[in-house]
Amino acid sequence: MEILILENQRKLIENAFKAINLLYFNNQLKINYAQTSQELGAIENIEKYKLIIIDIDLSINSKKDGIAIIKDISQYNEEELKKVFVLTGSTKVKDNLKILGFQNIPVLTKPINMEEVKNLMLKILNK
Amino acid sequence: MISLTNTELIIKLLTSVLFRLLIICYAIFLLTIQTSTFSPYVYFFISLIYLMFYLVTLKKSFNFLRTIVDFIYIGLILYEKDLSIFYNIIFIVFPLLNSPNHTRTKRNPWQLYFLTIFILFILLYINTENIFSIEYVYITISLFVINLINLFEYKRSNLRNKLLNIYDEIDDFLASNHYKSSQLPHIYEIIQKKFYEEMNFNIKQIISFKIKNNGLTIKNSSIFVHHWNFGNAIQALEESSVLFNEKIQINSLENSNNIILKIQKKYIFVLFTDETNRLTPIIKFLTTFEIMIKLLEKLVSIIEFEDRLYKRKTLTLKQLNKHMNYVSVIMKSTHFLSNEFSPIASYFDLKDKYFDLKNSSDIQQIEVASQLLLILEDEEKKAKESLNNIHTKILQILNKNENPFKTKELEIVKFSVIFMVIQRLWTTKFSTTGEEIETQNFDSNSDKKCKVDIQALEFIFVDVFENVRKYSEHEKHLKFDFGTDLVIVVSNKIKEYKKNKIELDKTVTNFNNNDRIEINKRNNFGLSHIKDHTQDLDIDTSIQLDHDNKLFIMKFVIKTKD
Repeated sequence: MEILILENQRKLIENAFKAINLLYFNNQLKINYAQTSQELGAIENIEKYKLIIIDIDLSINSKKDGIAIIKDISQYNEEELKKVFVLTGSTKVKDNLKILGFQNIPVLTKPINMEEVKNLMLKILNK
Repeated sequence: MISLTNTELIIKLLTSVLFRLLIICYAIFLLTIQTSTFSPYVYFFISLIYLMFYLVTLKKSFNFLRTIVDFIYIGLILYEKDLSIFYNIIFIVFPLLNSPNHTRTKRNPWQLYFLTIFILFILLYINTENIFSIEYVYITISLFVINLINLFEYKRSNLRNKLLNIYDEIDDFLASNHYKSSQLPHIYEIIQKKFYEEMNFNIKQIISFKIKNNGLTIKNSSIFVHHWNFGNAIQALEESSVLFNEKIQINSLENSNNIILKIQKKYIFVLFTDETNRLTPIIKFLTTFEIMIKLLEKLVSIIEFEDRLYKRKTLTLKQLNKHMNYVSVIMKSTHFLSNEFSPIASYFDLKDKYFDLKNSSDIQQIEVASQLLLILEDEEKKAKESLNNIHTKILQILNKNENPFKTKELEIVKFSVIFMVIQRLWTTKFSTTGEEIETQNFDSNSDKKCKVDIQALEFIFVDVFENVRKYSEHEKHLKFDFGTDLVIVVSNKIKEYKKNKIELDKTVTNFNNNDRIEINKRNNFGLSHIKDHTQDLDIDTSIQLDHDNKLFIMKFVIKTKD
């Protein structure tokens, strides 16, 4: 199973996800990282991932931020949004998403609470 | 219409009364130095009636009637007297000479002239019984000339009144509470309207410029100006302060029906005049130029005032900008911190999980534990790095020198200035007159000086008075003691005294304890930030509780600085 994490500061969360993969998914997950929206490539590429975790704040070089990517996914296929959740250090993101109509996307705040993240991942991946 | 103040009315009244007394005194003089037709009793009786009539009509505006009666009285006194004698004939000219003292609004310069002529002709006829004499013509001409002289004065004072009229309207507008970025456009409207209404002088536009370094900067005008070219007029203006009908360009439109005025060597006003007649505006200008120049000088002071306000506004905006930047830095920092904490939080989480697995009896779990150990060791390194990053960031934030809310601008001010600032805050906050504020030793010491940041002081007292408002019950008091140092005491009755007594005692002890300032800051016992700010300004602050009277008393001591 492939999952995608769109995150600017990979090294700050890498080990947490490695541990979650080891402890709860038997190292079955192939975790892909992308720092920019360009690395994602064509929007159709999201089909191959069973789970997409997005941090709103991406690299300076990224053409789009997390919100724009969410909008793109929504436009492409609204069903795909079901496999998305947001992981962010900013407290305003939940309100921003609500204003844009994305109130159903779960938002978890950093610092990472491994228990919360693991539960959400299980919920989405077991669907 | 020009409004007559009470002072003006009193002066007019006095001059009016004086004039009538003069007439009576001169009449008596004339009667004593020559023989008269009637007996003294008749003249006495006439004078009495004249005086009584005048007193009766004093408060009412029977101006024309009073004038007529004046002439009748003068006529009666001069009846059958020799009008070739100077001191007799001069009596008839008294009203004409007095005409500048008449009420401005009801003044008609020709009215007096014709009345004078009329009475004179009657008297002459009575004396000579000769209607057709060349004398009449000569007299008419001479009186006419006197009246002309009067007329000049009349026109000038008329013009002055018109100016005062315009000033009144401008001042009324300035005092009104219209909130606009500039009051000049409306003032230009007033000027244009008044000049047209009262002097038939049509000014189509008023455009103002400031002279700056060999160039012109546009100032507020009656139309929006984005482009201008003065051509040769610029040079001409160096030599002359007034130019007529120069060819200039405003907003890419040429205009050569104008009057250009240089005021106080710093400002230029361009008046667009009527295109139909090139000469008339010049004539109008020459007759009204006194008013015009005075008005434009007044406008210059308004322009300069607005410029100063604008400068102050930009300074305030600059400060606000600094504050906003600081807040934004803080917000970004919290974002940064949430990110950096992740490895630290994960490290401890993983450590717990590692030991759980390691101590289990399940071989598989032990195997997982050994894999987890690798991740754990890497996370430890990352956690240490994050701790370092967080430390650096926090030092940056805590460094007070970068905190714009804490900058001090100390200046030497008099005690009286501090009094005025705090008094105003108090009377505004509590909607009082200020009479209840107590002051001691004000007269002898209010000029003493101290060194404070007035804005910071205002900030502190806004806080203090807000506390008074929130926690006081009815009675509150403010006292200033201008002694060696300035001592300000704010006291109020404590709300729900019994309930708050113990907590307050604790707060007060902590507040007054100068050995615990840093701890109190951290624990935020309500008033500690007031203590913090006053410490910054070197103002001694203490609180006292008067348990008998249930009063909360806060004392501030601002030290004298020479």
